[in-house]
Amino acid sequence: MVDKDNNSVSSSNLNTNEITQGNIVLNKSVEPMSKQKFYALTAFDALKKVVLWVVDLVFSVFLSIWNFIKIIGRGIYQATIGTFNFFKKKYHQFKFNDLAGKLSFFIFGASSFKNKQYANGVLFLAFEIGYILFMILGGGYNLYMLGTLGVVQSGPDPDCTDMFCDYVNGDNSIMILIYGLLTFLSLFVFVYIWNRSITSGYNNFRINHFMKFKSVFDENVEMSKKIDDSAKDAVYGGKGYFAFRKEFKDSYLTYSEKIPTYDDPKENLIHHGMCKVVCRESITYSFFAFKEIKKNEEKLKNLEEKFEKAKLVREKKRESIDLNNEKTVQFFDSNTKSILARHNLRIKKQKNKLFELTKKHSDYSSKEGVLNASMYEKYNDFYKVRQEMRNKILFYEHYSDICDRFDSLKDDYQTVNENNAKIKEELLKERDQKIAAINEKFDKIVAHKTELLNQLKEINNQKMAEIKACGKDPAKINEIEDRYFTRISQLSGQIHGLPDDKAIKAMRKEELNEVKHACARDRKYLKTNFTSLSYSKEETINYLLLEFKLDHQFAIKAMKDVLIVEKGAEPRHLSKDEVEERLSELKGSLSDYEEEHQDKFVGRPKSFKEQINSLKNENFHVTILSLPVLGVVMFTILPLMFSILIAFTNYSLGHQPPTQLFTWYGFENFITLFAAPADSIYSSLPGVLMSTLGWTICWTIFATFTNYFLGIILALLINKKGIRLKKLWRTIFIMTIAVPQFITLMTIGILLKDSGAVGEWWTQTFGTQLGFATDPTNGALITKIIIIVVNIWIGIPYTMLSTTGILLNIPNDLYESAKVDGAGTVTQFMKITLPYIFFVTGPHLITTFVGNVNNFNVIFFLSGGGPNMVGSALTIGHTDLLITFLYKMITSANNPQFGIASTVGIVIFVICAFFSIIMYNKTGAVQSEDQFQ
Amino acid sequence: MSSLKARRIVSNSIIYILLIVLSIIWLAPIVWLVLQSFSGEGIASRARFYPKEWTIDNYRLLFTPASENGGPLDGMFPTWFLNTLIVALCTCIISTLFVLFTSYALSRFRFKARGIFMKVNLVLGMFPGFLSMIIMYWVMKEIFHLQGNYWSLVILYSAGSGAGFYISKGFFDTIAKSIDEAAMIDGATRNQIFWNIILPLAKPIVVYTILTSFMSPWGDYITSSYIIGLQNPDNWTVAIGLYQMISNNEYIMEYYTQYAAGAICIAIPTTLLFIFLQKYYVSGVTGGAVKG
Repeated sequence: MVDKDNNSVSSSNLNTNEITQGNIVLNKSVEPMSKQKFYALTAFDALKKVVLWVVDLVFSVFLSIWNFIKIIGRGIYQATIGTFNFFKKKYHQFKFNDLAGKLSFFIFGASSFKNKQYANGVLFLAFEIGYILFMILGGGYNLYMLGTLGVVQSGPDPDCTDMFCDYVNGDNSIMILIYGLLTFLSLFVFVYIWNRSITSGYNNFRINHFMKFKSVFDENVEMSKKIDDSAKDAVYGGKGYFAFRKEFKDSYLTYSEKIPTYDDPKENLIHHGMCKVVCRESITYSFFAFKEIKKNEEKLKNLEEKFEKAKLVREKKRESIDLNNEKTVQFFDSNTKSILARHNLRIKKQKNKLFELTKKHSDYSSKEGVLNASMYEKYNDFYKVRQEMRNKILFYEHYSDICDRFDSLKDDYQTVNENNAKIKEELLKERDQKIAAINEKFDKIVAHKTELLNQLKEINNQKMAEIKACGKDPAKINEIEDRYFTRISQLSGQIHGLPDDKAIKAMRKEELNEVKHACARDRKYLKTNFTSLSYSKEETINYLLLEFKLDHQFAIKAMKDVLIVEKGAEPRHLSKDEVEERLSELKGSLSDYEEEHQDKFVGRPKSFKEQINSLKNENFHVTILSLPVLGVVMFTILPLMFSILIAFTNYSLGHQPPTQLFTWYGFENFITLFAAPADSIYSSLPGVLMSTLGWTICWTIFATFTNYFLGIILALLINKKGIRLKKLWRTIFIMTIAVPQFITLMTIGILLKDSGAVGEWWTQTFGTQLGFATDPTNGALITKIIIIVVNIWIGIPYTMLSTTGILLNIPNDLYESAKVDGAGTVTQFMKITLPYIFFVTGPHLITTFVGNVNNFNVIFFLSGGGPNMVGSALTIGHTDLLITFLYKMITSANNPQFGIASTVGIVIFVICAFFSIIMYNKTGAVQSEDQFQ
Repeated sequence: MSSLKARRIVSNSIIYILLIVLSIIWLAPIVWLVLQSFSGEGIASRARFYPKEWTIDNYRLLFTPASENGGPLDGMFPTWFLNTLIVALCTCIISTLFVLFTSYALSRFRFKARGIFMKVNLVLGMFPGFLSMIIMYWVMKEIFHLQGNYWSLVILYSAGSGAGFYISKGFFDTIAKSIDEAAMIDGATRNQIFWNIILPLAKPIVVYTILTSFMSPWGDYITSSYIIGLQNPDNWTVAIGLYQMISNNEYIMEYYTQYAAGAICIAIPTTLLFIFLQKYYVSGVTGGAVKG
């Protein structure tokens, strides 16, 4: 898979080559093109490309906005439909339920108590009681106060008329906001737990009446298939959804008549009701799924047509080129190949998508029936219990054999011990032999290598001597070089064919380790400390496992019956009568059990203990995710929600808790920020915001792309073949990551200021001050440039590091095949290395982009936002980003503006979201993650 | 052949020269800082590239306890260092576990809320994190009663750290699922698979996560300064202290060279960590980034 971005890169690169190449052909064969015309053509082409690029960008901006609107619209639609369906489902679950299940709607956990899941029931009930108490004691008040955010002002008691009034602690608006919103959100938690209680009740009901439901599932499978077929017909026949629905209603009625009427009215309800529910759900689903599939099929068809067309066009074009010029033809063919490959790729992608859609749909249509049935199968205990009984019977039937076996093994333990000890020693010996062999092997390789090296040295010396001897005659030197050339290249080829020293060391270590581990493992299982009893026990267990195919746990348990150890008595076997008695008892209970459960289903909801155990296994994700997700919700999501709400309040100077109140303010803050009236004290704010916004975007784009490309270049430089001390270079550049950013940035800040070393030096050499971060007239631009440069200093190493790894990972055969095709270094770089890096790091670029919008450190520690703008109500500098703007408004001691700061936060979010969506569309970063695994 | 060789020599020597120049540029500010930390001239030395008087008093002063008529920040550095170390270590442990848990779960399990969680997380990343500090200040003060205490920083840094799972999830995705399946057939529970099989295989990403989650609290200023406040220097972290030393006009005259010494002191541990664990860092970043 190659994303769109590198397609466009490689194609643009191809086109320029094509033009110059074509020009050469023309020059040679037909008539010389005038220079002006050539330049004009090139310029025109470049212009065309730029215009196309801009148009493409604008288009993708609009596309992104449209996508954004679509996502929001779909979200709202789905939320509405989801809520509606939720209550419909609850209604359904209430209707088809037993009494306990119905009670669970009002008393949480009622059904759990009935099904002996006491711990669950207690938890459910405790939650309900606790929540109701909470709502009565404080929750209701919290919700009530959320409307006004506090009414009692701190200060002297307003009701008193005395001279000395008591001081009243007023409402704390911000805590009211926090508690109010928390209470409001707790309603959702309540609904969730309510839903859990109902669902568990419904599931318990289903498990207990599994057999009845099973037939319903079968009916549903049939139903779903039918719906599927007719939906397919309708979609491919070009019918609309409502027409299809209307038509299907009639056929459903005829179908539901076929379902037999049951004597029990309740059962009747189950069968017909479930069928109806399934029908409703899958009608909508099937229809739209087929519509989607159809759409994608058409897309695929289009793509295939395009592919054929492109093939034809290329073939036609090929006739027009100069077929005698080998290079041109080669170039043209490789170009064709890559174009067609791109088409093929798109087709393949589309096919994948189609395949996934079809699979998803077929999964769904069988879900209600087959999957549901198998889901409940895991609650079935029948086979497990029966197998256990059968095992026991088998064991007692062969009891005397087993006891004989046990007794006969009594005296063997000594010989076994001795044997094992012997084998152990042999294993050791064998290991030593193997180690010696491995060492020998590698020593040989090393010796061979040194010998080859010596030979090479000798030959080189010889050659040098001869060259020296023959004086400075170039013809002779050439002759000598030619003579030695094959020999030297042969030798060096042989040397290169061998692994290098490090690799040899590593391989040797690995092989040795393998041998050692294998030996240790084998020795571990050979016991030499058997006693009579332990040996016969172990061997008997093995006998049970191999002969009767019993499982390990059962065999261990059974050993207690083979040798009965009682207090004050000799260990003994069971007597024959006892065995007979047990056998007949077991057989009786087995037949009883089979008779009792002829439908082969013993349903039982999971017990609390099993549920806890499942947390270690199939529900392990619940265990490990609970704390992190709780942390994210409590400390990231909730605070953000509060902060967004603050944007709609007048929390600012004069409205600061705990002594002052603030209240809801509507969209006032947004108006102040974007269009403050000219006579207000914030009249300069819109202008400041716009300039800060402009600089933020400018900074982000520069910072992201300079770091990205320069980092790649640096990585390429370090990783070039023949450059030594790679690790040293890397370590030097890593220093900027290793030393905490605030230190390096502050240090550079000091250096660059007029009082710092560089500033001082600048003043002395050029006679004027550099004015970094201080000079409001000339310093702004220079500060901006310096900041971007310093950011390169600090940011490149990150890209360098990640690119280094990627460079090492590029499959070597790509380069080899390129070499065979005759691609030069530059072509290789442009066509293999760059696209590969783009492909891998493309998605990462979005994260970097967002990170740079919010890059607090670089600005704050370097320039502190300076040089300051003149005449602004808030002290904002020319190099302030939105994030430092926000920081300054929050932390300002004499004019804090929390409301406006939150509004700025929302603006930052909108910018990030906007650019992210554009980049998503451009890089095609939306990749199906499962395709990688 | 010889011309090719000559060309290679020329290009390689250009690259060497380039790399040497770049290395000098890259190391210059750090070297300058080291030189400043040995300067005996106080504030005047910042206008020079190298100090005229040499001394190790800056380091000595940094670690001697406050005397009676000394400055307000005398002898505070060891306290700050200890505070920062406690915060960074606790955060490192908790957030490493959180990140690894989250990324393993998201990589290996398919559950209902998975898609929603990942999408919400993507959107969350687009809000400036500092925005939530307005509220967290009050939450720490009124609900947890931890305002001005460095334990509040541990909570703030580590609680939401599960959101930074992208790179390690990418790394876990590269480990074949068949390994899990084979272990499951052998009867291992998911719990055992995670601790005994996957974690040893994911050593680079574990080291990477430890490194990054140690580094971010170690060098953080914005959150700590807002939550801890400037009233009580006993609770400051190194970042707040060092920033105060040079941004506050009262302090800069007296403490400028001590700032340089302190900066070097806290840069040393992380630098050593990075130099020794470089290998893991690279393979962790790459392995994770391959899958985006």
